[in-house]
Amino acid sequence: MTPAAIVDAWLAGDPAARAALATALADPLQADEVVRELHLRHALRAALRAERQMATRRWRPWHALLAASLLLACGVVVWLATGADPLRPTLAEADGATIHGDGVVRSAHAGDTLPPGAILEVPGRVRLVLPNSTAIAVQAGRLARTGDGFRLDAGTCQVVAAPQSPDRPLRFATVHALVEVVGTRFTLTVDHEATVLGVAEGKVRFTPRNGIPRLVEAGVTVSAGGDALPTPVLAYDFTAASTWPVIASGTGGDRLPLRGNAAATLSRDGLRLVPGAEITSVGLGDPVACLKAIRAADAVSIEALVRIESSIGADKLLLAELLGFAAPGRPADGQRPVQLWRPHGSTVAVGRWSLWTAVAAGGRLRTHADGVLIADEALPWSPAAWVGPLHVKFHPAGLRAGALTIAACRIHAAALTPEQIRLRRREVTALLPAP
Amino acid sequence: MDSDDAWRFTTLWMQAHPAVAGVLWAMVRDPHAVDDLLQEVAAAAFRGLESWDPGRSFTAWAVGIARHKAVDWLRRRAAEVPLDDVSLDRLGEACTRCAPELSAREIALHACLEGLAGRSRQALAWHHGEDRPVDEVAHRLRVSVANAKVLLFRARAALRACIDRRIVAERGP
Repeated sequence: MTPAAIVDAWLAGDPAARAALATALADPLQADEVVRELHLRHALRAALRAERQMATRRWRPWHALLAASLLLACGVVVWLATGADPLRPTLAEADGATIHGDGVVRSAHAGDTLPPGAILEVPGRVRLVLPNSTAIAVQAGRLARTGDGFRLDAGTCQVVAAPQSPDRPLRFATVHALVEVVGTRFTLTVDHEATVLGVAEGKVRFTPRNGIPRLVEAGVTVSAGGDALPTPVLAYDFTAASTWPVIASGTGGDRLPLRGNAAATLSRDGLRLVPGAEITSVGLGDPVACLKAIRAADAVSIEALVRIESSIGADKLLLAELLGFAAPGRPADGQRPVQLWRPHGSTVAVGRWSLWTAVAAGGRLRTHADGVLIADEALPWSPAAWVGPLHVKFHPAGLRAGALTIAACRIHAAALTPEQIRLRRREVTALLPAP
Repeated sequence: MDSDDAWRFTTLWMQAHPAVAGVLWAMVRDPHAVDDLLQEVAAAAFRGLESWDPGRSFTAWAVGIARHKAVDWLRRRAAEVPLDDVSLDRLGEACTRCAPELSAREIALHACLEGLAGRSRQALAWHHGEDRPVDEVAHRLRVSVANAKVLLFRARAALRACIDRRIVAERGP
């Protein structure tokens, strides 16, 4: 067997490949070939996934319209040809639920089926079963039938799905995401802010609206936000003294979230930084999980409530950096830290709290100050390509004198929309330190 | 750790990353787990950078961390470590030895992929880009599972040959 064939069999789980792999590794020349083949698998996956993300970005509305029209036409043809509803969800219990359809609202009863277009309104909890034994429990929610599955408008549904045909997965759509099921057990919850998916068994394909699809494995919970602000993956409220016990005690070590203690102080007004001081996420929260979430969403937004304490020259920059590391293969992207804020010195108001937001997504970096877009520039890297740990650094570079005070910082694994940023600005007044 | 350390780590990790990925692929054989473990290895190396002896190869050190992380991952799933210690040592040595050339191979791969089209390209995209199993790829292509395996194997072989040609051409006569 060639090294390539050995690796192929080994990765496919062929037990007979173990001895062949051990033999190949004993020969340095063959071992190198094994490594090249393993690397090809890894690099191939990364390259094809990156291509897919780029293709998703190139998707245009007219493509979507054309595709939707074709799908609709195909659906009509199939429907006319078969005259049957392959899903035929049937209510196993009603529990005060109502069915809305064709302009009529009627009480639901056990044994009723939910035809395409109908909406099931559930005040308590009901259970639906499909002919293939898939069971769907809906609790305090609204579930609509679509052509190929369901749309959960509100509430929670728990699904125990029987194996589905790979080319016809059972689909659950929400306003925030699409979940495709090929046989598994999961819970889906949607409210006006977000859709949350928790997978208990098997794998589910989860596609946030305007996001990239990902396979969610058992034991993992993911969410996708709608118009409301997504839940931050890391959030620091610097006014909460309990967040910073290390500073108060003056001890150091790996758990220390603040570097350069001598140049930083914590007060009820927030965390005060002077030039050279920085915050790192190491030891605070879970930077690995944070970076994974950012990578999965292929987007990151960082916001900080800051106050500049003294004037800075027009030629000075205030920098905040998020250190991620782009994947190899595009070396130029990965050799420097990613600078997320680059507001020009002259735009910074002194002595006043302001909310700074940097959004990196879709090949652009957009910076907002108090909800107003102040910079929009091309971004040569993709958050989805990041590897390595997350390291957040606020660096008031160029401040020869004076300081920067930070009251709060949030990192979202999502691209905040201008509306969300404005919404956040309204909310943020509650975070301002007491006068 | 200051900014210089972080910068230095970035450079070192970029060189070690492909080798670490190779070890993880061989040990856990699950692309999603490899993605997650790569993050964990990078975070552990980042935190422990002060314990790295600059007299030693950073890649070899990172590969050692990867090996431990993979063993932990397998044990959490009550799975046995699939290779014996001798084979794992040899794998780590080979990954470290090949590390300098792997980044160049990855860059060549991007160019070679552009020259691949048709069913081979589609099969690779489904299987390797979207993690679809071979039987699903076969179903979509309307071929037998055995034929789909052969198609994928030949497509990867074509890519390997293209990469080798490009690497040789870049080295020059």
